[in-house]
Amino acid sequence: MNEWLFYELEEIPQAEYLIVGMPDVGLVGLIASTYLVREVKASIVAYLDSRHLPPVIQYHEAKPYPVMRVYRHAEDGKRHLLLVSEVPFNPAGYQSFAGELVEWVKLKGVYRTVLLGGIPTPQRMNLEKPSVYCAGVTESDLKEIERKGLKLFKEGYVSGPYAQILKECFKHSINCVALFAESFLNYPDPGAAAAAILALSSLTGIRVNVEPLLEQEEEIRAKLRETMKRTMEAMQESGKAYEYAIPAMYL
Amino acid sequence: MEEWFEETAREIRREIRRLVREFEELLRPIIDTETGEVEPLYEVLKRPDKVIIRVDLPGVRREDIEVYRTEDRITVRAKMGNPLNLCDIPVYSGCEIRGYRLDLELPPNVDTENIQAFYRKGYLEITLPRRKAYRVKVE
Repeated sequence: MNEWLFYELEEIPQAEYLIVGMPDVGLVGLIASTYLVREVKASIVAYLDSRHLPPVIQYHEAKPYPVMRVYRHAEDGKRHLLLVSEVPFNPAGYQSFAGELVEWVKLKGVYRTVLLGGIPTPQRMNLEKPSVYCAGVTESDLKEIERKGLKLFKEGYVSGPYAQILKECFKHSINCVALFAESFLNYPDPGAAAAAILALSSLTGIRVNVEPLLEQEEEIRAKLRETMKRTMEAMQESGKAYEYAIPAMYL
Repeated sequence: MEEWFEETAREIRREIRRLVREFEELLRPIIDTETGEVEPLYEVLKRPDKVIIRVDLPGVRREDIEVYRTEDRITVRAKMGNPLNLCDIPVYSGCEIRGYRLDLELPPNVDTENIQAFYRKGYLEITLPRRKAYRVKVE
């Protein structure tokens, strides 16, 4: 029996890219994906529910919104989907989430999944422009990363829900690229989110102006203080400490 | 058998302490309704020669930050240039976030006379040097 249910509000067309943003390091994925949805005026087409999600529903302008939603966006004749999760969930749900998401991706004929996230960097305070490292799964992903002049994630561990999605895509030979922007670990980082969006633009061709995001940086940081605390609690159980370890293969 | 019993009792005590901490956290108000202050995000980095307290203070100017210390505590207060009005969210209704307040117990063995504070890009970094260690002659 499925542990994650996809409730589709309208027929979902075949999409070129599925862009995923979840709360994690520096809330990079969450900030980037919610900004993207607003900037490109994407419309909601589906939502997910599961026993692994906390019993939470969000209200915005008097309308209820489930916390994990799928949006659609079309640009230059190409269709894209965006999956936004507003809340972190228990690591016990990562495996089923990744497995069932990848099944859905196959069903919808998505060409490539792109994960937006951060990578904790001790020197973040001294970085004006954070670098973005791209972790691919298939040969096609790696070629595309290089063709677009993006930086490859060559060594190190990835942990948390994105690691599980990358693993599932690897099992099924499905195209997937994770974009990890250098970020603060435990402070909301809109600057890193802007860097991740710019890398996404290079990879997918989706045009987004990140200037308003950078202008709002301090306000976003102040508003996401509580969300960052909840995310840190969830991250403590998600094996994040692995990301600081040097893999034995590197020796 | 006795050892198993003691270990189980220790585990139960640890779990009770964790639950009490979680419950206290839940009851702690998000915002001081009188001053409009919230606790900022922060981290304490312990190094062999110093302790660094890094505090996230978005929306604040350097001149609006106050740092106080006693022998065993440090307090940071900061006023926001533009208060955050979150009146549409019922849990914040009637209040706006006007600033930050952080009150921390200092780690042991720090030199409170030589504290340095540095503010950049919305982050305050307080450096507390460790007290000098004296070498003990080994005979």
